[in-house]
Amino acid sequence: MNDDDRGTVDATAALADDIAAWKRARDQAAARRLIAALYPQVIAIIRRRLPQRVAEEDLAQEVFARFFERLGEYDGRAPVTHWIARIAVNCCIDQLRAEKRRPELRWADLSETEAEALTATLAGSEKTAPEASSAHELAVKLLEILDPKDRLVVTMLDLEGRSVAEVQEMTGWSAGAIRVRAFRARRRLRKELLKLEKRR
Amino acid sequence: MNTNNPWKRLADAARRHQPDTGAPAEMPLGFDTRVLARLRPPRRVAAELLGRLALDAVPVAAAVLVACWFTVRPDSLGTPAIADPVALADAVFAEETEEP
Repeated sequence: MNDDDRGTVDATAALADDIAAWKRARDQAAARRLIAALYPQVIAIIRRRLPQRVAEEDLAQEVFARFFERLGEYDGRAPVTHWIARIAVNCCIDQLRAEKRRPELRWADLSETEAEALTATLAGSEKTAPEASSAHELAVKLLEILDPKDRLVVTMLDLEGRSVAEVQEMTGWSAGAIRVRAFRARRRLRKELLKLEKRR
Repeated sequence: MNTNNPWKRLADAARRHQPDTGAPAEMPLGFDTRVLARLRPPRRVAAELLGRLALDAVPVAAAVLVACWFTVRPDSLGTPAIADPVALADAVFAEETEEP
């Protein structure tokens, strides 16, 4: 066992001790240590999946509130980091659901750089590949037309490059459901882009 | 996804971008305190709820009790409760025949 592995094992054991202390006597110090240890992971999930306009601290508080409320159900079979990731993902889905979905994307909705990225995308050659940051902006905007769960699946698979197994781990959904959602969402996105091409 | 798919082209380009996640993931000051303040012990919540319900129920129960009392008390029927009809007949007869 190398030093990194030993560190991970120690950290996992410390988390398990703090969870036990919280379950046993609602130990506030243990709760503070858990929050401090899990905060970076939670905030990273929130920042990656939500638009900037969402107050990330409020949502992070919501994630931790749900985490402690449900900690009694946690049986330790899965790592606690996976467990809180699922809670965070579900909080993001709830937040996305509360937001109004964009019915369709129009050229008028795009900034100059996004419009350039779209033109390059629709041109369809390797030479005219869109610039990465504006392509990302455009993709995020385009994803707003999707249902929150579809949006999450496509974001994780296509924009973050995660595998179906990873998405499964973070959401708790079956691999089949994830593939179906991804297929349906990609078809919708393709259709939307082709519609934009016709309106050009 | 095939190569003619514009979404694939866009996603491939977008994936090259490393999103700026803003400030480093340092926990804001007092964040843990704010989280813990949101949490209430479940047992105490249940006890408080029960206590509040019990207190709210006192006036309602008292009102129901009073209403029941006025509804079913024997005096409210207007006639005395005499078990023996012969004694009742005797009493009425005595009243009728009594000289002023």
